[in-house]
Amino acid sequence: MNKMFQRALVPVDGSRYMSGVLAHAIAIAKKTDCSLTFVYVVNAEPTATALELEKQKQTTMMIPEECRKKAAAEDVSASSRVEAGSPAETIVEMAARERFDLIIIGSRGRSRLRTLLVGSVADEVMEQASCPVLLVKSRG
Amino acid sequence: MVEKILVAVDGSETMERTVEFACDLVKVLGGSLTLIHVVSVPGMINPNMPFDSAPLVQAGEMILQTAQKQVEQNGSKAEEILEVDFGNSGHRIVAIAQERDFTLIVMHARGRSKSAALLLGSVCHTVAHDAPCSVFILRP
Repeated sequence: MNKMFQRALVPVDGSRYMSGVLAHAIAIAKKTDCSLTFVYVVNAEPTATALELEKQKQTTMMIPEECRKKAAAEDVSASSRVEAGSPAETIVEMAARERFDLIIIGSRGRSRLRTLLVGSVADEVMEQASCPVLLVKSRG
Repeated sequence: MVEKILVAVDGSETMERTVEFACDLVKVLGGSLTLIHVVSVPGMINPNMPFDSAPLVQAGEMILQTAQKQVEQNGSKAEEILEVDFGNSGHRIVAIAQERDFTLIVMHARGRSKSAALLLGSVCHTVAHDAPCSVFILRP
């Protein structure tokens, strides 16, 4: 049987919801034998200089890297990286460009008012992704 | 955790892909499959013109039968749930997921929504926002 998924993209944000997403991603990866790419997106200000961006990328690298280590500790093939840009757009574009076949992303759960007011990265990704999306609900 | 997977089927052209995906998923994740179809009846009924929902319910049963047949051809087994509700079927799918402790909902992003402007069908949108559990959102 062909593998159900080859490569999953897992955006992480360092929030308290991250551990739920990480646990789900590792569980799915183990069962489907797919690899995980953890990405943190620096929400770049248009005015940020290249140097500032580079600095931000360096300081936030520990967020996806921590996830990669936890996955690797469970024998899941994983990588980590930091990108800069508008988070949802960056995630959707990266998934399409690099042909990820799954996006695993956390959602804050029931927060209707909040999404009405500000929308969330998960919402945008779910609406615009060209591959399947696993929306992981956590109540934190 | 034993997965209880709820698969939303609507008889649209994306149903076959959704059912196939769900069958593959239960093979790798384990657990059980349940097909759900919500018959959507008009919310406003003129009391002088009695509304007969029987044909709609019958059509709904046919949809479940078609999906069930495909599940069997895939060598899997599934329970069936047929619900009748007003308006957006998403609310009923969410309620059932909550009542019966489903751990995962599988559905297609588009389903019956045909509008090209809609990246995410209204039912899928409702489920993604309000579901108490994780949601797999499929793309073509």
